[in-house]
Parts: sequence; C-alpha cells; structure tokens
Amino acid sequence: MIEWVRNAWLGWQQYIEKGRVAALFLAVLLFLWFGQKWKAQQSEQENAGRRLFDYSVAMAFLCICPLTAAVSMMYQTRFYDYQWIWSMVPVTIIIAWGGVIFLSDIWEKRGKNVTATATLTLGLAGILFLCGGLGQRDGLREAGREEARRNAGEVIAEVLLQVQGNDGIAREPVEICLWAPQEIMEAARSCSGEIRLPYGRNMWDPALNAYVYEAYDESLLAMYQWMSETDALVPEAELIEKLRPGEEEKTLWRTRGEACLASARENGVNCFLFPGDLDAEYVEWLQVQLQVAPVEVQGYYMFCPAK
Amino acid sequence: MKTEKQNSFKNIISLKNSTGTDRILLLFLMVIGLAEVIHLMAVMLGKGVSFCSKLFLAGFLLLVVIMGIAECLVRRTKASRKETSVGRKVLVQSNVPVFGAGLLILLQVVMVLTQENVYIDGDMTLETVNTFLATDAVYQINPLTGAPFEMGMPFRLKILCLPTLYSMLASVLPFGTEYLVYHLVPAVILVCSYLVYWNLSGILFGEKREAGGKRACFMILVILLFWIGSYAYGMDGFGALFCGYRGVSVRALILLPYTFSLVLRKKWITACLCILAEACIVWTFYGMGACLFVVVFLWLTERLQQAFDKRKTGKGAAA
Repeated sequence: MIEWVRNAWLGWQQYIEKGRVAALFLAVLLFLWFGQKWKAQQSEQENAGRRLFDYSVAMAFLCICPLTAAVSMMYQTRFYDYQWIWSMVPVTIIIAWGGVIFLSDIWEKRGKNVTATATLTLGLAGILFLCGGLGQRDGLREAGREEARRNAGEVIAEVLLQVQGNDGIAREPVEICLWAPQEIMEAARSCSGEIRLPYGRNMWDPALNAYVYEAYDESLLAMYQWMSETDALVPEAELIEKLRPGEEEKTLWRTRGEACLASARENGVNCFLFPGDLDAEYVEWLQVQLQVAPVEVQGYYMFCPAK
Repeated sequence: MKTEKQNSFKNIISLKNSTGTDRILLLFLMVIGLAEVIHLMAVMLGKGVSFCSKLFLAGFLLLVVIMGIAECLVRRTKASRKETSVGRKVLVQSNVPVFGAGLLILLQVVMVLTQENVYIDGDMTLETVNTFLATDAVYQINPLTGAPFEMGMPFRLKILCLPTLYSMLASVLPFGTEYLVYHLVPAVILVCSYLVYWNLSGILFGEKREAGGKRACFMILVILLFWIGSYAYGMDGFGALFCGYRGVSVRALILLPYTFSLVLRKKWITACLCILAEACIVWTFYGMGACLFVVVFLWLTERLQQAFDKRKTGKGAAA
C-alpha cells in the first residue's frame, strides 16, 4: 500500500513536470469558484455548470491526494499508469468553459476598448501556449524515427519481392521467417501479417508483455543480443587504430554467432538480414556459415539459405 | 398534468429530446456494440474475419437504416422542427468564430490523415489487425511473431473488439491497414470528439442563437487545448493527434466527455451504453471502468450538493 501511495505521488510529480495544463486547470477552477461564474447563466446552464464544477473540484482533490489517487489507480487496474486517472477529470471541458466565461467578461466590459480587449485575449492565448507543447517530450519526434520506419517498410517490401520472386511467374507463396536488425523486425509485422519472426517487439518494448503470456528462452535472448552487437559493428575503415576489434573479440563474435545462427535455423528462420555496412571479412564468414551468397537489398545483406 | 417521474422517464428514453449530434454518437456506440457481439462470436466459435466482415456490413447497414427511420420520425415532431431551425440559426449567426473553428478542425484532420508521427510504443494493434487478415482467424496466432500461441493471452484482453473492428473495416474499405488504423480511424475519432464537445457546449451555454458565439469560442479553445496539450502520452491532445486508434484514446476523447453530457441531462440509458462501450474497447476492472465511475461520482456530488443547499436554505429560513 505504501508503495502504491508513493507511486501515486511520483505520478503526480511527473504529470506536472511534463506540462502545465494541470496547473491551468486548477487556476480555472479558482477563477470559477471565486467568480461563481455559473450564476451569470440561465438556470439550466447554471445547474449543469455547478454540477460539473463540484465534480471537477472533488476529482481534482482525488487525483492529487496520493492516498485517493492510489485507490483510483487500483480501480482502473494496475495496467494503466497514473496519468490515466486524470481522464476522469473534465480538464479540457473546464478550461474551455472557464476560458469562454473569462473572454465574455472581457469583451462585454471592455468591448469598446479594442486595444485592451485584443491585448488581454492575446495574453490568454500566450498563457495557453506556454502551458504545453507539441508532442516533443515522449520521444515522438526523435530524430530520424519516422524515416527509419519508412526505410524499414521499403526493405520489407523488397525482401518479400525477392523471396516470393519478382519474375512475374505465379508460384506457391513461400513462408518467410525473418531475422534482422531491430529496426527491421520492428516494422516487419506492421507491414505484413505473413512474415514470421523468431521474436517480436516485446523483446525490446516490455510494455507489450502485458498482452501475451509468451516468454523467450535463453537462445532467443542470445540471438537478440548478438544481432544488436552485429548491428553496432562499425566498418573498420572508420575506426582509429586503437579502437579496432582485436582477434579475440572477433573470435568471440564468431563463436557466439555460430550458436545463434544454429538457434535461428532451429526456430525456423529462413531469411537473414544483416547491416549493409559490415566489413567484407564478416560478410564472408556469414556466407560460409549460411552456405549461400548474399543479395544486396536496400542497404542490407540478405541471406536465404536453402532448406 | 404529467408527474415529474413520468416526464423524467420520457427524458430517459426519448429521442425527441436528443440533438442531431446525440443521434450520430448513438450510432457510434451501437457500432461498437455490434463489433463486440461479432468479435465475441469469432472468439468463442472460431469464426474468421471474412465471415465477421459480412456480418458487420449487414449489421451496420441495418443500424444506419434504423437510425435513418428514427431520424425521420423525430424530425416530424414540432419540437424537433424548432430544434433544427434554431440549430442552423445558431451557426449562421456566429459566422466568424464558427468558420475559425471549422478551419482549425479541418487543419487537424488533414494533419492526422497525412502525418508520419504516430505513437506506437506499447501497442500492437496494427500487428494484430494484419495477423487477423493474414490468417483469417481471431486471436489464434501471436501477432508479435506470427507463430501459434503457446501460452495464450489474457482473456480480459481477448474480449476487446477494436482489432476485430479494424480488421472488418480493412477488409471492406479500399485502404491499406496501416493507413486505416493509423490515419483514417483517428481522423474519424477526432471528428466524433468535436461533435461531443459541440454537444457539451449546448449544455453549458444553451441552444439559443445568442449562444452561438460562445459555443464557437468554446470549440476553438477545445481545439487549441488539444494542440497545446499534446506534449505527453495520456493527455487528450496526444491521444487525438498521435494515437486516436487506441481504446484509451476513444474513451478519453468520446466516451468520457459524452458521459458527462448524458449525465448532466439525466440520460441514464445512453450513459449505460457508454459504460458498456468502454468495457468493449479498454481493459477495465471486470467491466467497471472510468465511465461508470463518472456516472456514479457525478450523481453523488449532485446529491451531496443538494443536501448541502437544503441545509443552507433551512438554516437561512430559521435565522
């Protein structure tokens, strides 16, 4: 229970750290309370406004107080984080309602003084814009993320074309089980429901583990680890002398690689993609292991060994 | 003279006191209900997406016909004619703010339809939809890997119908699954959300023509709040602009604000439909979700306030 209360308090702190809409909401509640603004409206609207205000005050208290917030989080199931309890608070409705009442007051009282009215209105708009932002904080606009997804989609399309055959001859569809760097695996099942993978996005996005009970064994974890290391191999020509991997490191990579490639074949993988900027030495080794020559596909080496 | 109880009962069940937006949103709730019934049939009886799509199309057309007939019947009554003409005049009298709001909504819809910024972390809706379509089966194959389930998935997630609804839409509409799930559906959700807020503005400011300007300003503020409030996952604006396809976004943008609207007008049966719709699209505590909480809590705060007012009036009279 103490941990839940602590989580609720940390959740509130993170909620107000990311932006100031919650602060604006509380400010509007104060404005409505001190002004008793719903009384200026007709009875039906006054009644509705009053009820909404009372509810919002009670809910705001419930969401800020750690004890009641913890109970609310338990009610909404522990699958959802703190910020979702605020969806039960009519934040947008209250701010917009309060904003209209405030603007109506200004325009009615100072309507003839255009400069003052315009200044106050723009000031309100400025406060509004200072309270938020445009999706920067949750990594949505991480540099190159959209481009990486688009490139991955093109690679997947090309892989499907190459494996299914692009000579126009109708043939039985080949079931593809693909093992590739993370950015390709991430997009594979989104692009086509026909591509199988040895492991899915829940390997690096643990939030997805809530959706399935499937777990990955040691061999699949090792495969993911080895592919990440392979993806991180920078071409030797770009490295200065002292940073080049020694023979020992290369041997270790090859030893683990042999085991991982064997695991991949056991898991049904029949299509391997590796980064296109791998040094020739590594590509030759892969060619020997997989017993097939690579095909270049949109900046990747594709190996499709025979069964 | 009708008693208060008779009048309130009529209010609960009557479409006559509903607005045009109410009827559109009722259709929205019924579509979710239809999708849920078909989805459960697919899960329990092992039916495929192709079978479900045909059933969904038939059911949807039937719903549209029924709502169309209901709309015609409602429009025939005197009260409805007066409501419609006032509604149109409200819009006509407030040209500039309405035009501004319309333009901003259009901009946001275009942005949602064309942007590449879609938030997919912690979500596998598209993989699930693609899997359903590729295998013509519902929850038989692990969407993340394409392999058959070994351990399965939680039943409380299996009963949620959104992936099946999107699969059925993808199989009947001429759009790619990614475009449908990440762009088209969020655009529809966004527009429906604005319908809900327009509905709310009528409750807060009245339906008369004089209120048109205030209602339009309310809408402009809502649109701006969606924009500036899109800085974090969980905010209404973030859900509206970057992940409108998710069940939590549909709940926050449509079901919850509409529940407020319905409870403030004491439309309890439609409010129950919101509670049920939420249970069909979001993981809830044995079906008890945020909408039920809102209904109960809003009712409770009203009762407490009435008790408080009575006491205050009683003390004042005594003094």
